[in-house]
Amino acid sequence: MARKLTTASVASQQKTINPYSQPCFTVYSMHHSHGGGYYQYDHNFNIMAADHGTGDSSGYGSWRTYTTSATEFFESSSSYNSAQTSSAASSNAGWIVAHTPMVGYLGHMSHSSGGSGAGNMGGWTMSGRDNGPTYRSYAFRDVCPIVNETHQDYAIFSSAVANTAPVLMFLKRSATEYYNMKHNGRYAQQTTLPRNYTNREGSTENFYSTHGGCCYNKKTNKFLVMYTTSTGRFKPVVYNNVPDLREFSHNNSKMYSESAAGQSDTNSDSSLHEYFSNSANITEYQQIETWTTYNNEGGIDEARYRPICFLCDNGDIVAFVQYNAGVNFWRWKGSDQTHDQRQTDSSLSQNGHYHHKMSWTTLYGYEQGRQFGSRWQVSSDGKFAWAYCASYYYGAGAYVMMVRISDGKLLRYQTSDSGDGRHPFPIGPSSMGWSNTANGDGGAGMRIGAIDLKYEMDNRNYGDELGLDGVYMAHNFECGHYSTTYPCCIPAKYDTSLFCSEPHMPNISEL
Amino acid sequence: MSFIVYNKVDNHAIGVYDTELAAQNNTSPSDPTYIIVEYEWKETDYLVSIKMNADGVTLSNKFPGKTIEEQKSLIEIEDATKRLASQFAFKTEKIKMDSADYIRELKWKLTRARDNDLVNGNSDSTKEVLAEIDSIRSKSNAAEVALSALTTEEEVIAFDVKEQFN
Repeated sequence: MARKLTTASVASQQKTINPYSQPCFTVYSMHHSHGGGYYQYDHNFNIMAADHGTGDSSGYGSWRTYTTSATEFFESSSSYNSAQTSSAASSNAGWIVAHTPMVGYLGHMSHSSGGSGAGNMGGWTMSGRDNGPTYRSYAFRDVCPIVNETHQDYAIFSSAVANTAPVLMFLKRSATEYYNMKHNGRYAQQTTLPRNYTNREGSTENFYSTHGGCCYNKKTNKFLVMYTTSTGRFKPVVYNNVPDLREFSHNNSKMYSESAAGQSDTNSDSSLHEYFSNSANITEYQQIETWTTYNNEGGIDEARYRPICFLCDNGDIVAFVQYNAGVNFWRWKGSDQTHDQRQTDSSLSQNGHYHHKMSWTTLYGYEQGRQFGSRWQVSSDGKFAWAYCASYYYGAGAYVMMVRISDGKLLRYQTSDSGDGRHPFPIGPSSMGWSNTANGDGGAGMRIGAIDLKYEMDNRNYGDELGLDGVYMAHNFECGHYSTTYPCCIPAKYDTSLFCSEPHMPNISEL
Repeated sequence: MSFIVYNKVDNHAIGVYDTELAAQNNTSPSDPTYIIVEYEWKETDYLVSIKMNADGVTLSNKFPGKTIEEQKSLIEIEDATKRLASQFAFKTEKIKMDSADYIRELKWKLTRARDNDLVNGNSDSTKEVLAEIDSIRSKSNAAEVALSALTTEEEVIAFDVKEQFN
């Protein structure tokens, strides 16, 4: 009997995982006496997982204090701000989860992010009594922007500050790992940088280092180091032909990890150190004048030692600098490496020094505690980035600068909210999610929306305001409690490459 | 004339805009928590001082005649008072909750005591457990009195409820 041969269809080599089905963010709440939970959503705003406690009993799962412990969190009291959501951001200090600076590239400071491999775990608190975030906040302060990177699974940290050489660390995308490496072992993924460069007046001097004031542009293979002075006179230096820093962050670069020198525990004896010390790799930009955010706006450490910088594909540099009553944008031109002092953009308040200014009332930076100050995030495709901070005291309201990395086009936003924080997060290939930690009373849930930055950048003028608070969808995102509660958003750390790279799917942001 | 976006639930203003359209672009029309109110904005107005009037439809500055710096100081004092009240409320609630939990934990003792008393023909064991429960209530009341004697936010935050029941 003859057999009948059939031909099996060839398995498609197109996408194997729908990138939109990955975790995107988790809404978290825990009212100290009424319950709450974690509610995780994907990039289509569909719920993926929920872990909920009703708070109506005294046993496990109650999400409240039971005798001597908050039963879910092994906490001695649920009054700790890193766990409870009973308090609005307002003018409160402490570790309130609703504060705007609580989220950044590294997720949420107090609650670990769900990721692609997290199963149905939307998130979880770090160690109790507010201690977890006190350790993780170092990383949120020191992490440097990475742009044009489709594999956002690593982080670069600039940890030294003031009158000392910059110290860079190339690690995984984890605030906890940074704390470990910073305090327990420095190994080969660290290097110091030179700091003697030419100032605006033509003399050389030793510049100061900053917290997080660098930017790696993966597409152009360039790395920006923003130096400063005691008065906040910023001086950009750009490294060219940078080796693959993602490789190095994962400690699997042949160039470095296989060399004996690269394995050295010191930070000045490695081939990476040699690269960063070679002046042939460097392009100096012009230092700004003596008119600085620190000197002329508000003299806090955040204003001189913590610029959030983005290095664009055309060589332009934009920086977001917070002071004690607002923010300044600064800009440099890639064409001739000079400080961009133009005053021709009608949507911006250029004064010949700064590129733009937004201001309102009292605002604090990292000098009041390393959990405060400016943050940044980047879209999944790496083509859009945003820097932001609170606009009211420690953590309410927001100032935002949004940047198209290809050409440095800017959009901006200010919300003068004295009550609630704002938590942005990347969503889809090129969009920015925007959430409000406002009171969910009445069943409003957490107010969340998304902005397609590719569309908005294409359709708005340079420097225009983009009304982020107009995008919210109330009553769509559970926050675990019908009465007073101030939920927070935990950005997920998913596989960004699925949105952009073969073989998963074509670069959909370019379709 | 200006247009102010106002949070009705938590009673605070969020933004002041030159046009109604600009205000609408900064709030979600489907969310009844936020409303837009027309307001005659003055140079001396501080957004945080703007509050809803009793009529529920108009706004006014709660500190008329004060400079912006004076308004900021007054609001900082108000905020500190609110934080203190919030800490008091939380610690008071915690005292009551812990007290209820401790008493609930004695339920099995009470059952056992009643069984013993039934066998022994007296009420000694029950009285003993009831005294224990009464002691928890007394400690709870004493804790609330001790808490109410505190005057600063730092003191209230540092107040250890568990210690009160030892």
